[in-house]
Amino acid sequence: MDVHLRLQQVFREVFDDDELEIHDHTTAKDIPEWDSLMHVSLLVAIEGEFGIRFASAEVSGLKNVGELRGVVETKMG
Amino acid sequence: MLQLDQLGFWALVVLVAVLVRAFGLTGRWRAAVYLLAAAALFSGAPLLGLLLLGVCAYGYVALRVLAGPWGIAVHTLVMSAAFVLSQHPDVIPGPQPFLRLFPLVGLPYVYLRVLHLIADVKNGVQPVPDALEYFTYVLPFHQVIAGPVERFPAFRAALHAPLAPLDLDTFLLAVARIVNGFLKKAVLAEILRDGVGFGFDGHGLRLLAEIDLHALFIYLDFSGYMDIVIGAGVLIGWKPPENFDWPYGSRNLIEFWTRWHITLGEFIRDYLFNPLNLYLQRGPLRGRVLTAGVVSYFVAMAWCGLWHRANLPFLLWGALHGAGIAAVKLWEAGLKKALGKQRMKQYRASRWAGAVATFVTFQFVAVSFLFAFETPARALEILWNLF
Repeated sequence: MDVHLRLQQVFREVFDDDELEIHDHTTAKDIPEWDSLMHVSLLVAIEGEFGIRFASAEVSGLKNVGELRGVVETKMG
Repeated sequence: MLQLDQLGFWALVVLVAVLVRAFGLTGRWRAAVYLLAAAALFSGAPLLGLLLLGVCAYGYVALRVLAGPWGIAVHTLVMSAAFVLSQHPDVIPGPQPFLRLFPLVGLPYVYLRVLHLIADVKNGVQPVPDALEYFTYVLPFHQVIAGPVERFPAFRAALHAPLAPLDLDTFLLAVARIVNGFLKKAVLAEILRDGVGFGFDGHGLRLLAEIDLHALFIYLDFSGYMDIVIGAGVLIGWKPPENFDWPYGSRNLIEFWTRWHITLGEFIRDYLFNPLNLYLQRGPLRGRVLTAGVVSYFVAMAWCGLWHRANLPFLLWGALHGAGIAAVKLWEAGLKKALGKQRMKQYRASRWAGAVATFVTFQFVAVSFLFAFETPARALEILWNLF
């Protein structure tokens, strides 16, 4: 499964929404429940799914799903 | 020190605007002009200027020594100690201690700017800045009094961007922003203060109206200041970030803190809430998202209160907001469980529910201000008189 689909699966689990579709341009404004608390929960879940670890600065600096996917892919090598 | 309502301040703004725009200054030359303007601003209060310069100089040394998390911890403690001592100089023993001369003006924002740089440099996010750019950034002559909390990369990008001559449209928009700010801060807010008095001596609905008008007064005063600073910033080619977005229209407290004092909310989120929440969710509170959130919100907002003023009323005010935000999360979780996903979506989309939630949020914010500006006992007495 490619990174995007795996990310989408994590989003669906974290936000408890089986119909959630994410795109590179999706931001926190597009998902009502994506607030500061759920943002951290999402990143911790992504860490678990991909076996990676985000730096503190990366937690705050992500602007949209595309940037998030880029960081995940870079960390996976 | 020159204030926004003094002609000297505006003469400085015009002088800087003409200098940087007429010569199209960018980079170090423009930074030098801004820094000279800061020196001119503080020339009327040289001791304050020197003390702030001392804090900033410590910050610059701190950027170069002690790397990693220990560096952040040590320097945060040192800066925080200076911050608290400046507000409570009486704890320093001896007659007329040096710190007793320390006026508070400007330090809270200098403190955040220095801490932001220390955290980013120690975390390897950015290199140690050039000294001239550093001192210009931490002592911004037009926004040192009450912010906002601009980040260094945004400042640096603006500093190095070419500066076009001031066209008529931009000039008029900037002047309109400044006039709007004075109208809010010096006219409407003052009419409210003089007319209502804010003694909170009434009862029932009349008292509630006074509490609500007090919240409106605080908004007009602070956002009016921001309008003035942003307008001046446009003229001199250093526009600070926006700090307000109709905050009293927020549907809940979490949204409120993304629309009220936005740059402070973002600072707290990035440098306190996120790292603490990440630590808790990775370790001691793994799998307990709500608990980690409640703890993190509470700590972050208590700190927010203390940053405004290191005393019990502001700590209570911050803690109230921490508790309020935690309550929002618990309410949402409970509601989702009770309503199910589909009806929860309908609830979120409902205008009526939104209107009620906005009203409740505003009342909470308005009442919370009582705890910041009155003693806890007096705030409770006022609350009691509401019923």
